[in-house]
Amino acid sequence: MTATSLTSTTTGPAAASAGADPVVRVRGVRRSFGDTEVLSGIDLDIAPGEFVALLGHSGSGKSTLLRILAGLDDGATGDIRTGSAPAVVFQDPRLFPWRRALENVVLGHRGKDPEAHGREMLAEVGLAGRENAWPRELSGGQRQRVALARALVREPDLLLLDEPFSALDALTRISAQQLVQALCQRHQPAVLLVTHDVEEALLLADRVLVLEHGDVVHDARLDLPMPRRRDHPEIVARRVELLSLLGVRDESVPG
Amino acid sequence: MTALTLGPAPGVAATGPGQPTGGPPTANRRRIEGVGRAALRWVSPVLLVALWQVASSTGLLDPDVLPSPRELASTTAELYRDGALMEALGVSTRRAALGFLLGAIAAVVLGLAVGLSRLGDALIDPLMQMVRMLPLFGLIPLFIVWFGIKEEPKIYLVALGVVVPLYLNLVAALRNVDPDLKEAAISLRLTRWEQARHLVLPAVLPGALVGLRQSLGVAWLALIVAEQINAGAGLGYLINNARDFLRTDVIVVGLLCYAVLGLLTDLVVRVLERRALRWRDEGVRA
Repeated sequence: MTATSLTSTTTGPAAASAGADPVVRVRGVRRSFGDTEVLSGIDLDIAPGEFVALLGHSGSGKSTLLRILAGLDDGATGDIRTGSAPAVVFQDPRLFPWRRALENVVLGHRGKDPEAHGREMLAEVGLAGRENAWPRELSGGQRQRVALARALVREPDLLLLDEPFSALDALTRISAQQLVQALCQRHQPAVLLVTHDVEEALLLADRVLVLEHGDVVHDARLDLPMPRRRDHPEIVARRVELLSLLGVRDESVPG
Repeated sequence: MTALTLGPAPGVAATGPGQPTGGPPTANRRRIEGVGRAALRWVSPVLLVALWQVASSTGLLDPDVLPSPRELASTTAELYRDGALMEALGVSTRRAALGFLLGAIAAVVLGLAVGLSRLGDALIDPLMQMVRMLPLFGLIPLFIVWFGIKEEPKIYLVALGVVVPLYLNLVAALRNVDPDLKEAAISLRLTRWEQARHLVLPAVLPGALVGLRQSLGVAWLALIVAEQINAGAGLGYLINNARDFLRTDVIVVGLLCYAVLGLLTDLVVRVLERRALRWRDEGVRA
């Protein structure tokens, strides 16, 4: 992480670090599976500390892009520069069921005193006192928070979130989103959040992208202070705009 | 909790359905029920032995057909005192242990080669599938021709019996390691050694232990059969000798020894299972 992103304030991390070397820089990235082209020449920069949400229908290639940036897909062509230490939170927590919560958090973490660091991180996600729990003893939301702690304990310069809330129930999801927002504000990684939830993107991101048929068809900044309100007029307006871009007409919003 | 400053997340922590809610009263009742159930399982075996003793004492059961439990106890004591029992047990246990060790090493080496490498799979698995189809006990005449009638054929027969179930279970477990967790391990940049230790080994262990139990069962069976056919020492020799002198009691004591040995090894594996799979059992109980 560069010094600029560390000094950035709540007025907008991306603004503070504008001009710094981007964490992610990809140019003309293509990826095909058999005859199907999933990504057809993507260009994308993510600045240090910038929170980017990537929206799109299933099959639009958004998860594929995330996997490429995570280093989990080496079948892509093009110019790819990703974070030096990316961390991933998947849709499911993917904890090792045979390791306790704290062990899961610090596994492969090579910093100084990883255990103390891991305890702090667990406390930050609200799981102090649950260090010795087996993953099976935790609820779905708690498990996902362990996964979040596991990603953040590594102090990643790039945090990749692959629909991390979609498996949670509606109530747990809201608090998990608020937690992610608070943690990202505190730790300031660059974030790529893949989601199909328009509102989620608008509540969390500095910048919202829409991917369609392997192309970025929409890229807009959103400079509202955090935490944001769902009923903020700007959010409501953007929501309608993005939904119609995705081909959905929301009858619940007076148009 | 520093996270109290982070909004409603800790609130969720307090209401999460996975929190252990069972207080001491529930735990106690469960423990008492558990003890009761364990005791209940002893009722039928004890009853059977009691009936058996009654049938023998009343002359209903001919001692030449089946000696009474009391007689068996005194025969056991006698065999123990003159050293014959311990010697036979030692010889048989040694055969089983050597055969098992040989078979287990082969199964682990072959299983790892097949489960972890595609080339190993292509080259070795067809052969193992062929070996699997061979009738184990049908090989005895061949083993006698090849290895004579001393210790070797018995040890090799046990080893061959051990290899197959352990190998099959190990390979299946290796193939079933969750690819999602593999991906997580890669994204955490675990080294190969860390992946082996924290992912592959614990993931494979349940299947491997099932294989271990099966192969131990086969090991004792193979030993018993091998010892019946030609033996100058060991439990099989003790039993065969007793047959020539019509000592039904010694035969039964020998058989019971096999049973106890089998039970003991099974118990060892079950203890291993309980220790290795704590994460599963404790997780469910909570």
